[in-house]
Amino acid sequence: MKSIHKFIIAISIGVGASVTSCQKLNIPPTNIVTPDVIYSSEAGVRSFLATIYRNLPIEDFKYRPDGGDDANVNGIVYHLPGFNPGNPWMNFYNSASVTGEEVGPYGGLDIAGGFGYWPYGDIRNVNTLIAELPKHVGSLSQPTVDALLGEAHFLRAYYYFGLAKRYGGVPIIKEPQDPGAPLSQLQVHRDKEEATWDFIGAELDLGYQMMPATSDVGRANKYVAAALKSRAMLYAGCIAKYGSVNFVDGQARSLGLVGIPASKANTYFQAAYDAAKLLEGHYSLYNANSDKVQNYVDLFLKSGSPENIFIKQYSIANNTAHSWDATMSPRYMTANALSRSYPTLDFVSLWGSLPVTNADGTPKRFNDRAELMQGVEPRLLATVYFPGATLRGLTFDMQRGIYPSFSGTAAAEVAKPANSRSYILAGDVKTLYQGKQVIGFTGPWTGGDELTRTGFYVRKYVDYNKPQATVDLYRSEQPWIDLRYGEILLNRAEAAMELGNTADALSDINQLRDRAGATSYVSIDLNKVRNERRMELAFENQYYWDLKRWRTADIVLDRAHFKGLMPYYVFNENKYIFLAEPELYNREYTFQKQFYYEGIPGGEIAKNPNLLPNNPNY
Amino acid sequence: MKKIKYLLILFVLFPLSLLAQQTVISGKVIDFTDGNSLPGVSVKIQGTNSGTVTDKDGKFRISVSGNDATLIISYIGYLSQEVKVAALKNGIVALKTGSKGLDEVVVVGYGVQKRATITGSIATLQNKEITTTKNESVVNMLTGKIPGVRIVQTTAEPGSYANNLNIRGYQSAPLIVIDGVIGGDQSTIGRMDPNEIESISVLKDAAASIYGMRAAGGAILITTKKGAKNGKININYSFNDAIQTFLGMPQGVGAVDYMMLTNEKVKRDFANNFINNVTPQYSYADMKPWLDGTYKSANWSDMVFRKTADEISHNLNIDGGNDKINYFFNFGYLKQDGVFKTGDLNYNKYNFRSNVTANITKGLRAQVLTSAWMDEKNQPYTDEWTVYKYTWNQIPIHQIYANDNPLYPAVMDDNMNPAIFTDADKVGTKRSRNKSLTSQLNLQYDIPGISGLSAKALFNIDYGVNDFNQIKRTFSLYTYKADDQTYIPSVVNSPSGITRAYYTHFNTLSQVTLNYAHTFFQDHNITAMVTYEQSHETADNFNAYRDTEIPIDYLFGGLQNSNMSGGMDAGALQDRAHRSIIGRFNYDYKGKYLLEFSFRRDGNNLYKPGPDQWGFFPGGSIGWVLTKEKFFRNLISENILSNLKIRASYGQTGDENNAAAFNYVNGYTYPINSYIFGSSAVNGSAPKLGNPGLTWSVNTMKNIALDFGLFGGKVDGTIEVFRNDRTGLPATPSTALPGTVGAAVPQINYNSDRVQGLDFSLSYRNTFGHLGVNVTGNIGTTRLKALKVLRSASGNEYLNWVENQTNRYQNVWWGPEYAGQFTSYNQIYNYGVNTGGGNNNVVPGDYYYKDWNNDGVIDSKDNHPIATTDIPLYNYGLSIGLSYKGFDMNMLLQGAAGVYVQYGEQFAEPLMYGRSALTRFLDSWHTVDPSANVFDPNTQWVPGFYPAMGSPPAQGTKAIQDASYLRVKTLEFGYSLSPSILKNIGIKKLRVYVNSYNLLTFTGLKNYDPEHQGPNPRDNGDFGKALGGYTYPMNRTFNLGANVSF
Repeated sequence: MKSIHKFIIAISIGVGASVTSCQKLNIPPTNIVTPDVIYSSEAGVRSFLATIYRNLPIEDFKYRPDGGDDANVNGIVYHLPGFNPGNPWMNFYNSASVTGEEVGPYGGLDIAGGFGYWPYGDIRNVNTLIAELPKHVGSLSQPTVDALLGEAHFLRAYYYFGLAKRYGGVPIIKEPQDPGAPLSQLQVHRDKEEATWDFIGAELDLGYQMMPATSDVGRANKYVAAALKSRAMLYAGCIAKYGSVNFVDGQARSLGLVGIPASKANTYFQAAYDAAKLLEGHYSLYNANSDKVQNYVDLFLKSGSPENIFIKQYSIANNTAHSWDATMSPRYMTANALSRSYPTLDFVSLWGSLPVTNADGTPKRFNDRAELMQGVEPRLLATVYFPGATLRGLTFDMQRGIYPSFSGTAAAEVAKPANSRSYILAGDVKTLYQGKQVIGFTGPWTGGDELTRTGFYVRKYVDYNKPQATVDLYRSEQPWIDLRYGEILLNRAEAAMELGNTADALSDINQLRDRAGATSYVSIDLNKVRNERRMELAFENQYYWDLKRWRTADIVLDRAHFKGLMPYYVFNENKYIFLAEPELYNREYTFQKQFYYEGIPGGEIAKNPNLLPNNPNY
Repeated sequence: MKKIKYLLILFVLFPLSLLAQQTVISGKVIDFTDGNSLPGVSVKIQGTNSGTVTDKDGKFRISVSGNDATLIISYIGYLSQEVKVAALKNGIVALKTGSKGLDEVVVVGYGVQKRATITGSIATLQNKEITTTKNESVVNMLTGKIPGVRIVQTTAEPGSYANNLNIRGYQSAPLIVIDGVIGGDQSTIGRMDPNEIESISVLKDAAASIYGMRAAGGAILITTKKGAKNGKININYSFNDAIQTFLGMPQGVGAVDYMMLTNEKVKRDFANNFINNVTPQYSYADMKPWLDGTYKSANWSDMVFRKTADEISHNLNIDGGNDKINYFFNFGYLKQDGVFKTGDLNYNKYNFRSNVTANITKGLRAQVLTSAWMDEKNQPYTDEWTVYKYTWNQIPIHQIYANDNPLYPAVMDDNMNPAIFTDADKVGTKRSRNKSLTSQLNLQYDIPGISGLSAKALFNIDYGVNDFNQIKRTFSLYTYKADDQTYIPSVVNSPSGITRAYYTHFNTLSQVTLNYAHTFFQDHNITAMVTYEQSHETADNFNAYRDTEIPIDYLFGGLQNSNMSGGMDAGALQDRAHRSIIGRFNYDYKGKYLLEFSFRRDGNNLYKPGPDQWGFFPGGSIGWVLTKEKFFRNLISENILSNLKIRASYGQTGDENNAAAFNYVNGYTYPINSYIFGSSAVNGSAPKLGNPGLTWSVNTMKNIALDFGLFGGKVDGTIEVFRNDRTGLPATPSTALPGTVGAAVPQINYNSDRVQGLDFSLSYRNTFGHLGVNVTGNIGTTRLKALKVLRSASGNEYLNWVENQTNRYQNVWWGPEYAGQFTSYNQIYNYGVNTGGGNNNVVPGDYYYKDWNNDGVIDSKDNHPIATTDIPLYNYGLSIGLSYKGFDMNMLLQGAAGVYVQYGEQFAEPLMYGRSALTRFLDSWHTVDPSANVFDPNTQWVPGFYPAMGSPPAQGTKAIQDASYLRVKTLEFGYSLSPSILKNIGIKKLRVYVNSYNLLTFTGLKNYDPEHQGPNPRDNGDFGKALGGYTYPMNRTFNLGANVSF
């Protein structure tokens, strides 16, 4: 009995001890670090920079100009539409597909209203960084702090650039505000548009002065700041010059919240020109391959190109890979795809008309669709996939239908009502006519969005080296080139042209034309400079902003319809013909003048009436 | 239960009298369901005062006057039986379980109480009431049985355990407590073996206050079986074999119908047909091969889904013991197959429990309760919802095999080829395995010297693992090129890869308790309890990925390339601790006036260390048993009203989950996303503003109830009204802070809401000769109302009306009100209201809606409240049990009312995403001439139920359907062989049964199962919640099974 008592006592003590060893309640969280951890080393600051860079308004593969839906990745919903935070896969919702470079599922001009971009959370992050860095000179050293501050000024300028090109003047916030401050202090007024652009210019100057000449790929250096400045100041110059001619009037305009006096135009153009010139000798056009087509294709795919100034990188392992390859090519050439936007014939015709019609108006007969590519400028062939081109061992076999026989002119045929044309069409690639497939595996097709409706596919940025089996959503890793020397030359040429310096403009443009495999110009005008920009920067999300700053969008996109080039097989002749027809959506695009500025987001006005007056007509 | 038997012996010790002239007969009383002998049973002779009780072997001897005498055999918890002495065959009487007496002991928070003196709202359920329903999840076995517990089964998918379970519509999930240990959620209950559960108590009001900051949603207490003490060993074996069938599986249209419907849709598009009709998408050339039989439409559904699937379970348990030691061992196994024809969706589960109680020495008792379960769910790599989507909307002109050659599965949209996408050998697998081990040691010691004082110490560990293995395999699909008769392969899901994720948790909980119970001056009963409890919950995880080239299904077989990655899910990392002091005091006077007070001082590490992390949660209740009052007895006879108790409770609980954890910390959140600098990715961080002021929300629960018993306990009922006010819900004032600040203002405890409603239950038990009748019904209703909601004013009066939630019932579904269907162009032209776009784009068959605000335009401003969202307003259940001799029947009717659903995607819009249509949409408006222009007023139409292809899908009251339903949830017929026959073959008991789950459903809802989830405003647009309705179908099962006891 005694032993049992001892046993009991032992157990009681044991249990009692485990119970009474008091559970501590001051357990810190696992995923929140103290500011010391961030600012005691460059690696810590880099972590904060990663967040700031990630949200930069870089209009890359994933940029969706209307914002689109919130993205849901692995069950996490990201409420930040527009700039890729949620990694949306629908890379065909780009601005090229509403401006006539391409046509796609966007109807009308869905993108002009914007998506209420208001990145003051990100700006607060930069402001916090700028406020904190000087306090940590001890741990980081003065040169490091200065370089990082320069980078912060560049980043802040980038965010404000994203705002200014949408709204004109916005409130300039330079330090982190205390959320608990009186509302009257926090309900700030908009700054003037001119002040906003000047602030951007000044910030980029600080960036240029404080940052070193080189940096890790994906991070800014002084030349990145200069490059962005050339772009931003060119925008500001155009807004001053053309915005004073073509505008919608309203109170915001008379207060200077939107609009810049025309007299300021040349100041900005000069700033753009000077900034662009800073890069001369530090970057150059990519010219590694003597095959002009291949060279231009590789420009967008090869790493370490001397043309790349500022790029954004992606990786599968990092869950940031994009879907460009899978959403620009048809399923036939990928492992899973939904291509949905296609270059228009109007765009292709920038390079001149394709020889598809004889002098008598009858369609020219081709033995092989690929013959169409003969004599086409290498840059165009590298930008657009033509019928007969090949990708991953497969041929773009575009064929809209079959004519058992064909007679008459192309124009007369296209003008007929659809049901009185003698062609055979099909909604299914399996459908045969006399044993011959009626439509191509790559379209054109009316049955859905996923085959071309213009007869062309996008080639720029498409990674032809990627094995077909790996071309799937979220599987593309080629970096987005946000700033490249080609654009800097175009910025410089345009600024020079606006400033009357035609010689500089001509030399800049001819550098590009030489690389493109085009004949050099002997003379230059503004129209040539602008067209060169369209050709060179096609599908790079630039044209939409160019149309806006040139104030030509309302003219170019005035109930605009675009065309495609439809290949047909003429059965009795065993030949191919090409007919220029309305693209199969036949969508209409209209840009209203008020869209030159987006409206200040309504929710923000509700929270801060001092943002009024809103931009004209909103 | 068993303990009471012994107590009863003491009460019924009659002097065994000396009626010498009479004959003595003997007999034995056993439990009808498990064959155990029942000691302490009262045996009385009808019409006399003489009687006896059974001994510890259930045997009795009694003197009777002759064969005409009738014995009345009664026992607490069982139905009384009258037996003629002449009919007392072999001397065995089998008693059936019956009414819950007032002496029933009910498990409450940190203790037990007699039902008679309970003043809180506590519903209970015993094992036998649970197991009448046969289902793979214990949660589904509770549906409709407990008043106030609302259960919606969202899926019947093997191993998913996805149910909505809440108590009385409270906004937080109920706390789960198993054998006194806090932990788990509804899926924990779902995964239990029903045979190991002794009873379930549901604390619905201030009774849950004793669980403090974690009991905002009430508490569900589960007590497992501990084993009998009667010296016998019981071996029980049962099996259940179920055939599952699937409810609400839609079918798609055939090839030609698809092409015709698609052409109708194409020409219906106003923008594309405004000037000229576009060419039809499908030409006659496309249709001809299907019309002439060259091609045959495939039946996708039959290819992917099977009509029936098996589900089998086995259970073996052994219990027994004596005064020194008693034990309960349980082993259960469940295997459930899924709806996929490949059989690659399946589930199996093993449950194990060992409960041992030992009386070490006088006054000292030790218990070791150990439970373990393991389960494994296998499914094909393909996301499950996409299987439903791409089967139900598969384009029927797509051939499964290229050129109909079965060697070459064809390329299809998104590579979703039904021939292979559920084939794990081809596409790969996902396998999720869980292992859980819970073990507690507790010691209870009656402290000598002070009568009624005892101490208890408890220590519990809970360890669990989730092991997820995903194998993605590369496979080929083919395109047939007719020109040169070649098959072009297309490799998909490349590269192959393997993902492994490993989650583990380890929790400890310890308690020391002092209990005191005493009766002073005969009438004043006092019990008191004080407990110190602390717990620590930790969880950790990691994951890894590698590409694979050879089919080795382990990480080591993978490639060491740049895609190789390892990481962890930071959100699942956990380190939480709680410390609490808990107390309760009960007082009653003669069992007539009842009083209870409880409290919990609760602290955890989610809040700022120091006073901020401690909360105090009191609860109290009172009761008055009127039927124990003399004056009341004088008014109503005991035979009519046997029991009447009025009780009321008031208490507080908190919700620690309502304020984000570690809100007080000022720092940087890390990691958030990442960005690539140079050649490597850098994890991001972002500033986080601290907000030390934010704290938990507080629930104030009030409950008033009336318990009554009528006609000598034949009828029992309870009616309860409750109100649960939550105050201090976090609100974000940033709605009023300009966005230019760039930071959200700290949240504050401001918002409040209220849930209130009513539970009612009524039961009736009686015997008519050999016929036993047991009917129990319950109904509950509840409604959520927001009281205070912090917000800034909306842009205009209308929006303010729509968006202002203050003092408004919640879960309101807004939408337009359906007014009719246009039947002719004339009607459209003369229609005075603009339905949008000036009615240009309206054709006969289109729906129109009420111009609710009379502004001449149908737009979002005509939306108004039209239905309720979320789970039902009314839940009810009715179970009917009948027994006659060896036969028994059990039926559970369960239903809900005031519940609405809407279906989206393929169920609402035919040909969505350019895909196919369900057969129901063949009944739609279309033109007599298939090539007619739909915008031409001279076009002749054929009316149908749905509008024309391409017309806007239904909205508002047309789309939202009343999904009120009544189900025959359970229907069971059983037959128990007579114990006297079985005795000869060494079996104590044998019962065989047939059973059906979800046998019949009565609902006004067409084409769907009412519990099938559709998109709902409560999902906040999150597709992942209802997956567009592409979810696993509900099942109906037919079960055959037997229980054997040795």
